[in-house]
Amino acid sequence: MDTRTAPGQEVTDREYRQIVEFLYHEAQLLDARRLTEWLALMTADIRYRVLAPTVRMLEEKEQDRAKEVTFLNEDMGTLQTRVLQLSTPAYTVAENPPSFTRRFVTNIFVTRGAGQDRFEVSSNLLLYRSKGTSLSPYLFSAERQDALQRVDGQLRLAQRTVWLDEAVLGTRNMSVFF
Amino acid sequence: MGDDQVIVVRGEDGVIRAFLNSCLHRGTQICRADGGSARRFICPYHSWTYDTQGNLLTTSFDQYYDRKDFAGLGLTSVAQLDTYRGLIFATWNPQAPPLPEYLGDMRWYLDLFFQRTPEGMTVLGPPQRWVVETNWKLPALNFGTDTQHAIRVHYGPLAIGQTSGAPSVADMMGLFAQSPQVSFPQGHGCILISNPAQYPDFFGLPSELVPLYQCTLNPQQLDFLRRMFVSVGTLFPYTSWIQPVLGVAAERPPVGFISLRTWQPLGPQKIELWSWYFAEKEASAAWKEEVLRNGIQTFAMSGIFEEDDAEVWASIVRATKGSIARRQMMDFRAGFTMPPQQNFPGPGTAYPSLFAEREQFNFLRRWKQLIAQEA
Repeated sequence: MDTRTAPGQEVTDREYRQIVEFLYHEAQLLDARRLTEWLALMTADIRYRVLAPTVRMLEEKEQDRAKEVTFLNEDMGTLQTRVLQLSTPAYTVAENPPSFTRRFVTNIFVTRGAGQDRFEVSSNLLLYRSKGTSLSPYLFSAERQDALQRVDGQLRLAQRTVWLDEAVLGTRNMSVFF
Repeated sequence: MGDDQVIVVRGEDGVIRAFLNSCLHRGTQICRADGGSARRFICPYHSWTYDTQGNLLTTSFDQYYDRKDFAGLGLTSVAQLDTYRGLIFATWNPQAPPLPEYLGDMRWYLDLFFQRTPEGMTVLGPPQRWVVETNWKLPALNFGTDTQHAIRVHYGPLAIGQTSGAPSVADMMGLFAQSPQVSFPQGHGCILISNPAQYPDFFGLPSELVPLYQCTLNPQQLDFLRRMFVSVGTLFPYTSWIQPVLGVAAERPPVGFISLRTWQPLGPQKIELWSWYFAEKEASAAWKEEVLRNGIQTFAMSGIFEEDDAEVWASIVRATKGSIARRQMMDFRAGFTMPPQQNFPGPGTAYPSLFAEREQFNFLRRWKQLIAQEA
């Protein structure tokens, strides 16, 4: 899917820098648990999904959707529910006290998307999470495919699909965003 | 099955079998994928080859063996395997009672979730799988039939839910107090919470399926499903289901979904959790999608209910590791002297409040009996 060099698909340096800074800003808000501000970066019709693979042999060609496992499948309404839960002390046990998290965003490719002011963005995410005083932190590793949309001049996340790099997740819950 | 990996395979003869996923030669894992189809199982180490009935066909070096006949050699099979309503159960214990006897009267309730339409249920995709640092008995007890925890651990989603039409937390406490928990001598247990009176019949279920429920279930079973708000249960030892009616956001319709899970022990302090979602085969594709979406948003690794459960379960194992903590006795006495409910319309022994801990006690008593037998 190497559309990066296709004519007419390149973005300007300025656009690229804005998008990289959008992703960094978003990661910073999540690490700082400023979840309401993070949610404000989504479009109203946000589609937010997190998927994990199953283990299949190479010779089994059909690596199709039926064999992926969905972990999050959210829209604005359900994201609001989650943010309310995770931001209200009496509403969450998993994140009260909160996990210590650090998000590392790399390998960012941007192409012009279909439609005005729309961008297709892929990035890698390493999400470090440490729970309380337990000694082993956990690392979620993922590829993200995003669609960013400029709304009233501001970049907004319109779509995110997160592909986790693990079939059996080695941590107790997923009370974090990617 | 616990720490022992198994291959579950439908043979060319149509029979379902289960084998230890370990080669007879050096113990290598033979099947290394989560699923697929194969006519032979070929060990990746030295090519010992088995058919789908588990028989060893060739070592690939047969001429070097004194024995010329490999008949009778094969992958280690489970001692017993049987199915109920499409669910496959197996045991390594040849002395275990056959499945119908093992499930006992719990089958009557399983029908409510796994055979309530003529075609039965379908699994919505592969399971979520994740590891929780806990003992398998804790989630098994939680689903069968700890309800006290819901008020504290799930206060958040319950409080948020009431803004979109679910009963208030106070009303919920009233409902829980008067709903039955049902206990079975095999160690199984379940709870059944009826909808508040103002809710319609078959709330959260697709109306086009109601005639199918009516022609499949018996009148008493139908009555439970007609008014069902939440049912949760555990099949001893570590398989549980939940069917709640939940809406995760104000604009989403409430959906009754089924999650079935196993709390597979990986030793005493870790489990690998597998969680599947089910819908009626006859249901529309759109409904199946709603069921899956609601399921993973609530009871799943990422579920707004279960993420908090897992936090508590893990903390128990951490907090009871020490030599002092291990001497501490746990308390299961709530409602202990509560007499069983008379004239309960379903099988099993019913106790008239979900806040009692009778069934949890019964579960542990059954476990203790079996552990003592092993010794």
